[in-house]
Amino acid sequence: MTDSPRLPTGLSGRVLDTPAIIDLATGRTRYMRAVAYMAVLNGDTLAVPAAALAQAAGMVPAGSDRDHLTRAIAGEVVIVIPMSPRDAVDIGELGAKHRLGVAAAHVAHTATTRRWPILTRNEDAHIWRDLGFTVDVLP
Amino acid sequence: MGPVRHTLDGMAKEKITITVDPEVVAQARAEVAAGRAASVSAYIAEATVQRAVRERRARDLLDDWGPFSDQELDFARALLDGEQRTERAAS
Repeated sequence: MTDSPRLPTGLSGRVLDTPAIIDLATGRTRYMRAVAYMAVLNGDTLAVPAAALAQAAGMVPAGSDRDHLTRAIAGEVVIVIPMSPRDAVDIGELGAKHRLGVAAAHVAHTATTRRWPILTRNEDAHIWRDLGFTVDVLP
Repeated sequence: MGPVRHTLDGMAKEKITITVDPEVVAQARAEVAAGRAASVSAYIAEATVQRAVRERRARDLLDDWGPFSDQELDFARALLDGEQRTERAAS
């Protein structure tokens, strides 16, 4: 665990939840990958909380899909947000408050601290909205 | 082309004249004044390098994941412009 990277708050960025990360890896809709391409061109940040990345990596089949995910991280297409010891306590409290697992709570924590929307698929958007988060929705 | 000179870091530098918006100059000078850039030239050069890096990464992505359809690219632009956004229901 390390301190969070020094990303500025308030600038243009999105926080990917677990389904969005899986979409990036698998190309399920292709829209997520198109968003990643445009974000790189524009200099927008796509943040991937480490706990959500771990969950997604466990759900993506080993091989090509996971290789895509690894390359997206290595190529800084997405920026992984680590969990510092202090973050871990806050994320635990946030998860208990909203009845979220660690991965979703890390997404919520990152979106809250950076004031960035959560990027998610249509089927999951209502979950985040009901919790009071702003969402950008994939098809 | 302007004269080429070498600096202490060994990198060849070339002096050129460019035209930019006053806001860009003001931003560059503010960054220098705040100590976040060594000079206006360094600020402009860094921005140019950053753009080149972004474009290289984008080309690499196209090699891996492209080509994208017009529909996919239009959707991506719209999403990054906030057009697929729904606001929080409560604060």
